[in-house]
Parts: sequence; C-alpha cells; structure tokens
Amino acid sequence: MTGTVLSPNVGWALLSLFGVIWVALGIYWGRKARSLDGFMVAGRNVGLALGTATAVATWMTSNTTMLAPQFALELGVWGMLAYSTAAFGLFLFAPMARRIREVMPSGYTSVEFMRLRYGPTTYGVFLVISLFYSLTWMVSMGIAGGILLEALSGIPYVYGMSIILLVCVIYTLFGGLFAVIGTDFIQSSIILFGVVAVAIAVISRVSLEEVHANLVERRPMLLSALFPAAIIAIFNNMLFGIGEIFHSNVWWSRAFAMREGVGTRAYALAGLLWLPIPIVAGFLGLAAPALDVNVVRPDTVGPIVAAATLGEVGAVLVFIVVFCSLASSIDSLLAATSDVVTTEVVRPLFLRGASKQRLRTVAGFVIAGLGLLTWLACLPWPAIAGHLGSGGDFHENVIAAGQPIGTLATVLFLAGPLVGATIWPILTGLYLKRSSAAGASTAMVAGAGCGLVAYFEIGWYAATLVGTGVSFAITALTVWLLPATFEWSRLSGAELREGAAA
Amino acid sequence: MTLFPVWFLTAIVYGAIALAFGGLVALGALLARDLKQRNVW
Repeated sequence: MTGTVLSPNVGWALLSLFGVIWVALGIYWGRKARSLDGFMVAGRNVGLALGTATAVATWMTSNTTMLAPQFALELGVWGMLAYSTAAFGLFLFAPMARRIREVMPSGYTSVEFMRLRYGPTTYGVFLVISLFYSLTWMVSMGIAGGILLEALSGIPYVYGMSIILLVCVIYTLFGGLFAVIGTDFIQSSIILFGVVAVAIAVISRVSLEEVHANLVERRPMLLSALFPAAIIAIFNNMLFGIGEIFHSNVWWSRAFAMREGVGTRAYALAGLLWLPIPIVAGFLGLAAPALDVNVVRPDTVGPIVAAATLGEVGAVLVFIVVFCSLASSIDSLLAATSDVVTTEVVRPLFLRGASKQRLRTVAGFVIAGLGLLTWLACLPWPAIAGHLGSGGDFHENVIAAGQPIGTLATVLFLAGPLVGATIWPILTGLYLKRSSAAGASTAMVAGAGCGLVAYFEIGWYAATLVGTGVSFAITALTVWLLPATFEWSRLSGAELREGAAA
Repeated sequence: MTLFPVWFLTAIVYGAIALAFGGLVALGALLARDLKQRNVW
C-alpha cells in the first residue's frame, strides 16, 4: 500500500476482472447487433427490465457519488434533495418517450428529429449544442475515471483513464446498444447494491441522531429549512437535468429502442429508482463531520467517507461502483454520439444515399474515432498533469485530483443554459403543429446566449434558469404570433434504405 | 433559524435507502418476469 486505501494490485485485479467481463458480454451480445437497427437501437424491442435499468445506470454517473455528497456538505439537506430533483427529467421524459416512438417509429436520433421537424438552421444550432454537451460529458467522465482510480488504488492516471475508455470502446464497438443496455442492467444493480451497502455501513457506525446533533452543534446551516442558495439550486438543477435528458440522444436512442408501450413505464420507474440515490450518497456528506473525516476537498467526500467507514472492503466497493457508473455513462455516450455523428454528420456530408449496412460499418469506425478523440483530450496535458497525485498520501491525491474535475464541472455547467434553451423547442416540436423553425432556432440561440451572460454576470445557479426562461418566452410568442403548420407524417417515413452498400 | 428536525432527516435517509433497495429487488423481479415471458429484448 502506498498511501492509497486500496493496493494497486487489487485495483489492477478489479479493473482487469470487470474489463474482461464487459468486453466478453459486448462480444456475446454483439451477435445481435449486426444490422443498423440492432446496433443503434437494439432492435427496437427492449423490455421493461432492461429499459428501466439502462435509464437508471446512464443517469448515475460518477457525479452521483461525487457531487451529491458535496451538495449535501455545502448546501445541507436541501442540497441532497436538490440533486435528487434531477430525477424529474426522467419522470417528464416518460410521456415523451411514448410520443417520440409514436411520431418517429423508424427514427434513430434526437438531431434527426430536429432536422425533420424544423429544417437545416435549427438542425445546425441543435447539433452544435448536442455535440458540445456529449463531448464535454464524455471527456469529464474519462478524466474523472483516471483520477478516481489513481486516488483509490494508485493506478497511474494515464493507465486507468486509458483502460476505462478502451474497455468501453471495445464492448460498444462490438455490441452497440445491445451491449450498452445489457451491461447497464448489471452496472445499475451493482451501483444500487453498493450505495445501499455503504449507507447502511455508515449508519451502523454513527446513528442519524448523532449526525443530526453534530450538525446542530457544528454546522446548523446545513439543517436549515430556509436555505436560499440551496432552494435556487433546486430549480437550477432540476431544469439542467430536464434539459440534459430532453435534448440528448442518449435518452432518445433508448426511447427508439424500447418496445412499444414500454418507454413511458420504463422512464417513470427509472426516475423512481434514481431519485433516492443522491439522497443516500448525499447522506455520506452529511455524516462526514460526525465521523470526524477530514474533508479538505468537498467533491471527494463520498468516496473518502465510504473508504474511512468500511476500510478495504469499502474501498473495493467504491472502486467497483465508480467503475460501473463511469462505464455505464461512457458507453451510452459513445453509442448515442456515434449514432448522431454517423447519421447526421457523416451521412449527409460524405455518404448520401448509403445503405443501412454501410452505415452500420461506419458507426463502428465513428465509435473508435470518438474514443480516440476523448482519449487525446483526457491525456495529462499540463492543465491536468499539474493536479495529478504523485502516488503519495491518499487524501492528498484525492484533494489534488479534485482540481481538474472541478474545472470540468464548470465547463459542464456551461452546458446548462445551452441544453435548457432546447427544452421548449423540443417539447413544442413534439406536440404542437404551430411550433415554427424560426421560433425554435431563435429560442435556442437567444436562450443559450442570455443564459451564458447570466452564468458570467450572476452565477452558475441562475444560468439554466435564465436560458430556459428566455427560450420559453420566445417559443411561446412565436407559437402564438407566428404559427407554422407542420404535418406529422413528415416524421414517420423511413429515411434510410435497406440493402447492400451504395 | 428553522432547522429540519431529526425525524425528518431520519425519514428521508431511511426512506431513500428503502426505495433504493426496493428498486434493486424490483429490477430483479422485472428481469425474471421478462425472461419468463421471453420479453427481455
């Protein structure tokens, strides 16, 4: 042991074990993913169990174990409740999943919807927002993965980050959405088990009465029922979550993948399963003062408390949970972003008229390319390298490692107003014939612009609120004053043709 | 300053743990049902 809570040998063993399992499953399920529909939308026949689990797993990123305890530690009880409101994105997407499948029975991506519904200008704006968001999210997951594995087990950053990305690329490349959804079921079960087990272990060490009494004495603000910053954070976080889910192809591809009649129930159930996770993880943050855990960087309080409470077993559990939550998000992002790039960027630019089979082959190359791009962005360039631990003390490593995550969280928060600005154009586009292309693109550009101004002039907590608000006002005004008449049948036709390569 | 009482903290933490555990069991039950009906995917 070199100051980390887990020896590098155990870390390598766990990394190898789970890496081999995911790749083997990806290859096994890859037999089903030979067609484009198999690869991109898992045959459009996914049932309730896998549909629910995949939504839960994808929405549980390493942020859920890292950021929720930080919210609790800084914003108290309201903070952890604020984080859990991200579940509302899943609840609200539930009826949309049904509508999406209804209007686009042969659809593949959210970008395709915006293009067919609103035309080229809106498509361009939406594509930029969508790619900015997915690439930022993917890079932040890669960096977080490398940093967490190094902090927990001493596996050097470059190796940990590279292996996580490589494993995800390989099994997504072989198995497409089948592999992503299948592994998501196992990963979500492991995460749910791990989080519950750690919380129970913490409660057995320190009672809730002790946690409460400690907070009353040392940090009463965290128990305050009227905590203005936290209450604003609730609305901001909820809208951010809704914007993320409404616009991202990660969620649309699953709506296309689920069997008819499954989407609504799967997303609603997933919201219910996801809702308690930030509260359980957030509790670790609240319990930290009572456990006398020295937390210098609040964004790593969750893993520190788990490791301090359960020792090596806790560290192993956290390692597995973190690995699963990273993989379940990276694989989904790889698959969903590759779908968008293949069908909405590569196809119109270079492969107009290509058959589905040809696009299926191209999608594999795009996944590999995205993986490579993410890996290059995650390499320890000076900004990251300066913050990496040197294999010394675990806490020092964790503290140092938190820096680039914090920086990336800031970049990711920049995406808040952008995705918030897409909420209303998507909603009205799905349900109202009157929603126009000019209204949608103006709403997205103005909403994103005003939201970014609010981000820098007011603060992150107001950015999404402003972006969504401006976008709503413009969308509502244009639907009312400059209505369009859209024919829903324009969405339902199959654009891609079957058959051999063009 | 109005503080959340201990019963409230207990209720949300225990409630969340129970819901998460229930979710785990529900996922297992749903998969068993889908497997039985050959409706997994």
